[in-house]
Amino acid sequence: MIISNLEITEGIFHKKVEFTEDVNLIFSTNNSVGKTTLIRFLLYALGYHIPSTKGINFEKCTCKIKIQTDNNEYLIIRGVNYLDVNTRDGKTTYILPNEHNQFISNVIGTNNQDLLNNLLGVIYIDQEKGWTLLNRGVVIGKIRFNIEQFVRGLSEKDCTELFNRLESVDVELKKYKQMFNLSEYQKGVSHLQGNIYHESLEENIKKEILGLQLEKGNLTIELKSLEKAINENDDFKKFIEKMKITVKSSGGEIIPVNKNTIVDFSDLQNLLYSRRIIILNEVSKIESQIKVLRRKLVKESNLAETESLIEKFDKSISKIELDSVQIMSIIEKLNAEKVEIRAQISKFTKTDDDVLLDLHGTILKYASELEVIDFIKQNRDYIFTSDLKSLSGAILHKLVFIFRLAYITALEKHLGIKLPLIIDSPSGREVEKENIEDMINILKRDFSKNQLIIASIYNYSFDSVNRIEINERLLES
Amino acid sequence: MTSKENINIKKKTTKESNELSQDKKDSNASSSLFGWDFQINAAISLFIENIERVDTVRLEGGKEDIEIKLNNGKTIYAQAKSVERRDDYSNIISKLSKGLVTLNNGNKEQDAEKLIYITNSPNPFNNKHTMYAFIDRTRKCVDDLPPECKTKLIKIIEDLKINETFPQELFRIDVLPFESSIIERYKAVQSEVSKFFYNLNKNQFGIADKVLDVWQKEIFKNGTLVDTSITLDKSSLIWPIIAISADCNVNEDIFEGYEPCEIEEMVLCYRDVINVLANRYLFCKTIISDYSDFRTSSKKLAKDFIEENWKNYKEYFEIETSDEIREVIIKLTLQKVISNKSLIGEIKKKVNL
Repeated sequence: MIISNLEITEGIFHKKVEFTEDVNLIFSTNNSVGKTTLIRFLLYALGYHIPSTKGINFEKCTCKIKIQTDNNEYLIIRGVNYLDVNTRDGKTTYILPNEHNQFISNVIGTNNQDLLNNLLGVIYIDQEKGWTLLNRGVVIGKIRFNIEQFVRGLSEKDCTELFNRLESVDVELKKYKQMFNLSEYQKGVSHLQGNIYHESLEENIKKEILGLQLEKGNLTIELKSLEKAINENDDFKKFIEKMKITVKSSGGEIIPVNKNTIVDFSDLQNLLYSRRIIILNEVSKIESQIKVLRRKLVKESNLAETESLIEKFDKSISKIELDSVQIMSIIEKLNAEKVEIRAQISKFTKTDDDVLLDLHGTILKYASELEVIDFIKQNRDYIFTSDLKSLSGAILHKLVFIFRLAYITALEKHLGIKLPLIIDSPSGREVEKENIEDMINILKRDFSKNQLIIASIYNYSFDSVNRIEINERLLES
Repeated sequence: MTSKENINIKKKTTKESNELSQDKKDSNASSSLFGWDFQINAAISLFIENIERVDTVRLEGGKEDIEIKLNNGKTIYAQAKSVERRDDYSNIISKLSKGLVTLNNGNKEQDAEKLIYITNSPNPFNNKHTMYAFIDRTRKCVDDLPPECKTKLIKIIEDLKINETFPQELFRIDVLPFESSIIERYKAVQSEVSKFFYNLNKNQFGIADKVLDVWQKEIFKNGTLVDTSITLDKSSLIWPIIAISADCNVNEDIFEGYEPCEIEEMVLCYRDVINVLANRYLFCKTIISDYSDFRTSSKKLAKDFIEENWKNYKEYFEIETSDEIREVIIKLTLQKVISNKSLIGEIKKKVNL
């Protein structure tokens, strides 16, 4: 892949830069004239989300970049949220950031998401963050590099399932941590205000109403049963009276059989009528009580509306039953599970001997050349080291350089293509001139077939250099 | 003072006087309600006192505040006069005077059994020295009054110029304690109702309150009827007593092996089943007849009848439950029918219904 040219327009200001496929030196005698900005425009034009430098807003500029690969030529116009890419095959628009990897994938010829996500960290060393990024960290802005992902990409290993598990544990962990925070908040509220969740008057009234409604319900059922009995008895009486039966007493008296002469009939009916009146009275009483309570409820609800949001929140929180000990126990279990999953991912990542050997080999080779071999551990896992504190400025600077060369070598071998190397300010602050020369010599010798784009205030001794000089400002009218 | 200030003062004074007038109206309204409540409870007290002889009761009758018609054709007429504050004696004598006049007028047909002036004031003659005679619920005929009270009464009657028509021998002054505080108000009349049930041997817990509640409502309802000829029949007041007593009636003696709370729970659970049968005339009649025959032949008690015969009524109880519980439900139902019959007879006899 070769970057051919870059064109930037901002209003009446314009800059077009041509690049060669060899060494391109973006040079100025002074600092802060736009070298880093130009490099960042390159990456911005390729669709990356790059923070603007001081004094210029990338989104207000129109950027066009032309790149060439073995198979195609790409003319790319960068919009704020999209890339318009014109090739021999036609025009394609890629929405950013979601479809950016798709674009890069078309250019470098791989679908491997781990490699696509880490590409910029391989080919680009930023002036600020780049020279402290050894194997994990920020490349630029929010773009990161991760050695485990990169190695998995090179090894073509799929850890999706493990990552999904990790994500789900993370989600659960977040929730439990929120719950724990809530329980601590709850303790705080209790401590300050006592247990503010006492059953509110509103809830008590509602319970009372419910109790009365149940009572009313039971009485209504009894009333229905009673009325049914009264009617059945009345029906019986009518039936008997209809038959106009008469009986004779022992004294010969003829007695008609009716409600007045049917023994115990009136008594039973009177009892039932009275019971009905009593139940109706009780029902009426309950209904009055319910009415009073409902009025009280409305009053209470109105009062409740005057509570502040915090008071309402504290009351609601106080109601929740949270066992902080149990929550903490779950959090610990989830953390342990997370560690376990990460360990599995790490183990899985580190099992490809060939990739690791290749990387380690390259690192050792250049470390020896740049006289930092003593700082490299011999085991191939060293590439995953997290120990940066022991490394001084100059040593770290060289190691960063070495690691990047190892990455790009491995990636090119995997993809079968050449990639540009974009370096902003290779000299750094603490590296001596001789060491810079050694680094440049390695580039001249081993990366002569790569397009190099270097931004510096120094002239480096390359055989053939496309010098892009910036005088006072990047964009000229 | 400016004219504007004058106007403002006038407005304020008018407003204050309107408020005072409203306060007076509110106070009058509350006094009326209190008086009405006293009248109802005074009627209840007099009703209980004469329960065996009562035919009808009427509040706000054609002639008097309370009219209780007896089964001998005579009537007890009563004037009920209350004071909201029992220590307020300011209008006591004027109330008594008005009462005497009304009672006198009410007896024009000479059909009074008694003429009663009933009040809640503990000092009906406005003489603190005679208050000792009117503590708690008191009933004083003329001759039972302290001498100063008797003298005062006669003087009042003379001043009212009714001494020739007013039958002093029929007159009685009653004091029924009746407080303005709701908590204390019904204590005296509740005590009378409780005593009544005690005499009936039916004094279960809470029964007096329920009965008083029903009586107050029935008497109030009747009293609001404009047509004063519509009176409250004695049976309208007695049957509620029977209904309430019947509801409380569970004889736990026949349920050996069960805790009272277990029986109570079964009564609640199977209340519908029990009531459906116990309210049905044909079923009740069958049980009562069978029991009557049993008593005639064996002279045994209800408990024995239930124990020996409950199986005969299984067919009436098609409920999905265990045999043990079915047995208890059958026995409870039989017991209810028999005890209701007995209760009705007992109370009717005691109150002469």
